[in-house]
Amino acid sequence: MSKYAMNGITLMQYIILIHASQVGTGIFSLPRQLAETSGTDGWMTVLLAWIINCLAGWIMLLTLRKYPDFTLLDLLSHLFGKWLGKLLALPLIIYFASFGLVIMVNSMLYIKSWFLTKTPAYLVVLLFAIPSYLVVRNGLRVQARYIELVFYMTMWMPLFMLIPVGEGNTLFLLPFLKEGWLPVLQGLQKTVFAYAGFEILFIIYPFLQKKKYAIHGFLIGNTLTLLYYLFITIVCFIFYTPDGITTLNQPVLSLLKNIEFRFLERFDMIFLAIYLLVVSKAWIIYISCAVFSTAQIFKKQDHSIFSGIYFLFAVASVYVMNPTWNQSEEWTKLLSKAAFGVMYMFPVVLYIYVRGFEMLRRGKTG
Amino acid sequence: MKKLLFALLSLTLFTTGCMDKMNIEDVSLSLLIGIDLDENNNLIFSTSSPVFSQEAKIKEEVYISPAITMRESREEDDKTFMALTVGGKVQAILVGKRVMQHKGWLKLLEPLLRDPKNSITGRIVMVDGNAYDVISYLPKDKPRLPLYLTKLIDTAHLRNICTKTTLQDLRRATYESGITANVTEIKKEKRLFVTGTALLGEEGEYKFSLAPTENKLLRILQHDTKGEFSFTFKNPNQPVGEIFPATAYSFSTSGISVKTKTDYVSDKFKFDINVQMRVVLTERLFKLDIRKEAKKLEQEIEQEMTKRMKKLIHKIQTAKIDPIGLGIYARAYEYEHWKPVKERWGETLAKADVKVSVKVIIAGMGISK
Amino acid sequence: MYFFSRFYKKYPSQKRIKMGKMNQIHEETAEDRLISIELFQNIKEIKQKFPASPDLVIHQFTTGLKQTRVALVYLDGLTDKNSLNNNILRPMMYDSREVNETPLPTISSCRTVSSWRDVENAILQGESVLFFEGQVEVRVFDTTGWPQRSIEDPQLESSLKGAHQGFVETGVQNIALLRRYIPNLELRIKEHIVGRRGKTNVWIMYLEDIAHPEVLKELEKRIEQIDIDAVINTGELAEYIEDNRYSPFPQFILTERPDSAVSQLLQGRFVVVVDRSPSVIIAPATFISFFQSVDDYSMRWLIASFIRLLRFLAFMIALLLPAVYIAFLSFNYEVVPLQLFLSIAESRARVPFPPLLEAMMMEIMLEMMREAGIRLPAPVGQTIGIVGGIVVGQAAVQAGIVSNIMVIVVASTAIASFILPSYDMGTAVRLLRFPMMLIASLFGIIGIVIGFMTLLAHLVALESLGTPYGSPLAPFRWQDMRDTFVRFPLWSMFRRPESTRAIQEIRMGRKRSKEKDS
Repeated sequence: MSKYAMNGITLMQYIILIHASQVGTGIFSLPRQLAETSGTDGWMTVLLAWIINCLAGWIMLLTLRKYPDFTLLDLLSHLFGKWLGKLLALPLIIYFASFGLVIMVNSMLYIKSWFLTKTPAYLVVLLFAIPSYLVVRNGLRVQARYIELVFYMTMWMPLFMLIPVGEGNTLFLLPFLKEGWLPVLQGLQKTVFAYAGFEILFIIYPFLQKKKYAIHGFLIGNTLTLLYYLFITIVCFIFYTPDGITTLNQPVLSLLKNIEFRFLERFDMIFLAIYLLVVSKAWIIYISCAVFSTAQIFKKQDHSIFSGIYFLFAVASVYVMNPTWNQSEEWTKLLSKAAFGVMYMFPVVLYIYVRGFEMLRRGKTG
Repeated sequence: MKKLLFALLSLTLFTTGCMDKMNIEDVSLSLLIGIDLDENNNLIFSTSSPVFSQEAKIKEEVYISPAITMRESREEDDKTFMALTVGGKVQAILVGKRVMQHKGWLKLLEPLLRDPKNSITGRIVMVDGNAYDVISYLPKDKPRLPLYLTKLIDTAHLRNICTKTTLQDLRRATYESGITANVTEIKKEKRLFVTGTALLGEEGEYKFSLAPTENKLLRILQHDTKGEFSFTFKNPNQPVGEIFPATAYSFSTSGISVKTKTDYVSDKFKFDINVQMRVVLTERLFKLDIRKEAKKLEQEIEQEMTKRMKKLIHKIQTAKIDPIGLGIYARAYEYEHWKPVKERWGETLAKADVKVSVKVIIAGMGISK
Repeated sequence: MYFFSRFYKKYPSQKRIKMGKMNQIHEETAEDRLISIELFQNIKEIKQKFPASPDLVIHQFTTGLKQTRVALVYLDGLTDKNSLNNNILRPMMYDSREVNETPLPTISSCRTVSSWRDVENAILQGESVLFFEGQVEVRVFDTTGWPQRSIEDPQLESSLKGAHQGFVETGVQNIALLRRYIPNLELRIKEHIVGRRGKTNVWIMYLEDIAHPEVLKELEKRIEQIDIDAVINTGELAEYIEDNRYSPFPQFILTERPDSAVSQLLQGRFVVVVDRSPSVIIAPATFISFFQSVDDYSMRWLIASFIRLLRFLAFMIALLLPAVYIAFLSFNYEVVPLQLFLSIAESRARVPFPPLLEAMMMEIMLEMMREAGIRLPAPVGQTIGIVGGIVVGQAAVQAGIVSNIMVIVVASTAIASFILPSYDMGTAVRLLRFPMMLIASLFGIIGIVIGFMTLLAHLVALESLGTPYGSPLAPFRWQDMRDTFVRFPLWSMFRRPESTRAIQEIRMGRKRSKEKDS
């Protein structure tokens, strides 16, 4: 029995964790960003990106499969020695931590412009921090439970996107590949932030109870995200005209503005408020990855102190910087680049290194 | 220690929270917004918002003020209104005809699209006359004007007397090069009337108006066959009555299917619009054995319908606009040819070959023979 | 700082436990003296031990041919006089005159002790003690018979179709009530004694082949750790053994219905019977189990499902409705449709208070009325309800203190919180409503979502006896959904819920319907 079995997660939780870490705030602006580069063929970009992600995740799992009980830090320490391993893990921890922070800041900006215009930014982040801290300070099992519960509770939300579809026009999607393949490929870089998230495999893999389904679970989780994105992109493209969609910052939210019921108007506000639950999944999983690894570096079993410090730091940094939309977009771009490295380059390099490492070892012993 | 921190934290929340609080009674909702131009081409904004006080005799606050932009006009309103003006519930934006005749008036609506707190489902209405005349109209036999006006437009839209264009629809039409916008048109004389639909050009300028019957045809051509379509035609083959219109007959549709085919032949776009209607006779003032002569009547309806539609299309082509949205078809099916003419689609459509064919089936004649 | 640490210690500190044990040892050496061989010595000792006890009866007489001097000691009122007279005194004084040996009383439960501590305990428990001249052993007879209530319909959890027998204050009888349902050898009972002064008997009941041994170990450990004066009520015991002391949610089910206790036993849970208390603890509990009632299983499953859904809806209404009212009126009025907006605004226009104050006033008023209704005798309680509900509500609206809508909100909240079958969960919701209202008044709808998130975070982290409280929602289990929001037909629920950690997962004798049909 491995040392992480105590906190084991089921296959379903594993699938949902992967899916949850991917779906965050990126989705609101994704259709616009895709339309800017790839026009109405943007949905094909989503499909293409999915294939690439599946490959990347597969390579990650190829490496991890060899060390089923190792988290990222264990693995790096094993491969590069104790100190170098810790040093190498540091940028990744910073990556996870800042990813969590940027998701929180993004959500804060949404909340601020939709609901609490005059409330100071740090206060909104503080509000996020309270429930998040209660979840993050516990083991991965509790986080998985939270994320699973929220996932099932919010499953109905995309269905509401179907209501305005009736006013749309499927002709907007035609013709396919109107400008050829080039714009479709160019759009790929825009999907990095939206798809980023499955790198948490490095941390959660050792907790998975049934390791033989790791790859299946990953594929299902990733496909779930694909379906989600594909659905929303196509709905937006159908509803908005190809020229009109690029003039909106968050087409998804503007789309929801059109939904009115006899008993409820301005559905986008309700949606966004409840969507906070969905986004909280994403930041919670990133932050817990960061905090868990930090605790591992310091060889602490209990990471509740680190999560407390993290949230205090998050609130303080928002208080100091008071981020604006433009800043947050800059950070998102920067993180997309980092995510590109972590998601696609790092696993390949690691895999090659591990193969070499193993061969060397075998040569020594044999 | 942790608890102490927690207590401190909640204290901060209490003292710093509730900055965005605005109680419902401190809010003055602009339900109607009017935009006009005076003789010297200065913008005049007008607002109507409800008053909730029981002591107030009139339940509506109306203020008309000259201002540079809509946002500035809100400040003007706050000078006199009881509560703070907000725009979260705009029901209709009334635009005077004189404003609409100028290109680029759409820019005035910008604040409504930018602030996320504003709703974008407000109806856009062109007023034949001054918008502030409508806004300051206080009908005695009707509920509050905003409620009355929206109800009027919505029900008229169900009968397809006029179009219903929300801010979102207008926005979509303006950003799309393959379609031009159309909005509801109303008029105030002694009371309010919905007069039909106003067709706008590529940059929002007013082109010409459609009567209710024409509006129905436009709806059909747009593939928008929701609601009720009822027509009253005159049969040319029947003897004309002396006082009573003995040649008239009416029918409503029970199902319409429209197909538009796009083609590009000899440097010209070609559109074939096929309309199939199932109609139910609702009125017939002359004698006709429908069991035997249904075909004849069907043909008559087809001819009349085609004639009217052709007339409408001709009107549209001469105005160089495209309210039908044929440009969307052109882009979807003939992208190569559409791309170069994208910017001047109106002119291209004027030269295009648009054919209409109508097929009518009488599905029912009611309970009298 | 000391103040805080004293209040917020999770479990009794090591030091206190150690001291407690030392105390016990000390007591044992002092009290564990043996009975003297001389009868008058013993009687003197007894009289010393029970100084101010007018209810102590010492009855001296001779018995048998040898005319042995004996003394019967008991506490008047705690013993059954009939049994004493007929089964002890009669055979010993009357029937034994010709018998040579010491005569035997005709009583079923009889044991022999020889230490003073046991004698004391026996007398205090209502048993009668017989001293013999020249013997160092004492006979103890179970003649307990204290004032008792007969078995009645449960007061707090009334049910339409369930059994009409509720638990009473006698633990043994409660055990008997449970045993009646499960005449099976696997039903085990473990006895513990809690409270140094109170010495309450606490019995843990479980089904050996279903219940998880680890949970039992945990439960026993916690009960053994309790070191207090006395336990008066089951609720007190529950507070000493629960997992999270700051949670507003009940972590154990407290029930006074034997039938619901039995159904939980059969699912693999534990029942803790506390002597002198008319309710039992069911552990481990889940959040969902507070929404289930015995009636659900004796109704048609479609109707039961509908009622179950109604309860969840009621839970949400009771928790969120006033908060939503405040949020919509102070922050997010855009969401309210225009027509409704106008009518709310018109009724609000006269009210001089902000929505939070208005809502708080009415909610606190409601809570007071409810509390007043409980304490008053039933007929008066009803009057209070009418006066409070109709007169105050109507008058408040007319006086322009609250709006019409607020009265509707408060009334529906009250009704909704009564629907929950568990009183404990109902009170939790009543309490949680207030922080929700507060945060809604600070941040509007976002505040409500944050509050809800906090609640979720708390619920997923909460455990009851080490099993997840949120099961089967978090961790999610499709199998158990059959008895969560809706109640599936009984034949389809052949598995025991995961939250009980039952070692025998499939219920006995239950087969899939297909097999049954063929």
